[in-house]
Amino acid sequence: MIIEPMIPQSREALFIRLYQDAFPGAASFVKKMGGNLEEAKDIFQDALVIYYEKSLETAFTANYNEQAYITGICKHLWYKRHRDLKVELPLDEQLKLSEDKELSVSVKLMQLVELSGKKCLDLLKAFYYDQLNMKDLSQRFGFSGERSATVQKYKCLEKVRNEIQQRSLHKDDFYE
Amino acid sequence: MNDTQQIEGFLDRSLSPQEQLLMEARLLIDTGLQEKVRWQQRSHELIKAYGRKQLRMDIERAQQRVFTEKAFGTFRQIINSIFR
Repeated sequence: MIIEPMIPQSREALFIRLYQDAFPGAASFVKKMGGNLEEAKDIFQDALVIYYEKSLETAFTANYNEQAYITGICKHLWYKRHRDLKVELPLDEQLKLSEDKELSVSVKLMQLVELSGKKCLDLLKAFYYDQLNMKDLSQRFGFSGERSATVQKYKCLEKVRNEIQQRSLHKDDFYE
Repeated sequence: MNDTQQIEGFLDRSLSPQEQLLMEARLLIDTGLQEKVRWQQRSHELIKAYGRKQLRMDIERAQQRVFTEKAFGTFRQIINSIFR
């Protein structure tokens, strides 16, 4: 799977395709394990998050069967949730994700930051989370060039940093 | 280079050896800078959490569509037969 400059529509189209291609296999597994449709949907969503983030890592190669890989993640998540099975989880090391302990950033704080500067947050997300390169980023956000996009990126980062630092002084907790 | 950019270089280890040394020296005595580093790290955590939140929304939207729109009727038939 190649993640092209991720415009929202193309990302949604990608996930629709993944549902069509990979969800039946994952659902069959969940059904076999005694789960229902809701559980299958839940696990599949988590699997897609993991898959998306994993595919952005530079070490991740395309030498795999996408469907099998996602189903594999689903199986891993299932066994993790139903620990009484005590199955060997070799994938654990590779994935190192799903229930990230450190990421319980305060939802309230995130909403406040989003309210005060969604454009900044979207820019930072595009660069740091979605890993857009500066060229695509400057095009997507309508900058005159990479240089001005870079300058704005740092301004936004500083703005977010100052805001959360300020809010912590006023006792808004950073973590939940 | 302003502090934000310097701190980024420090956090992602892209500073030159001299800049790195200078930064480490500054951090030893400048508590304000230490604070900035800490909050910039936390900014990255927040950005990641935000990114994940938006990602989940996109996934949810896709799920909504395949489970409700006419165009994906065959897909739903397959899923329903699995859970019958």
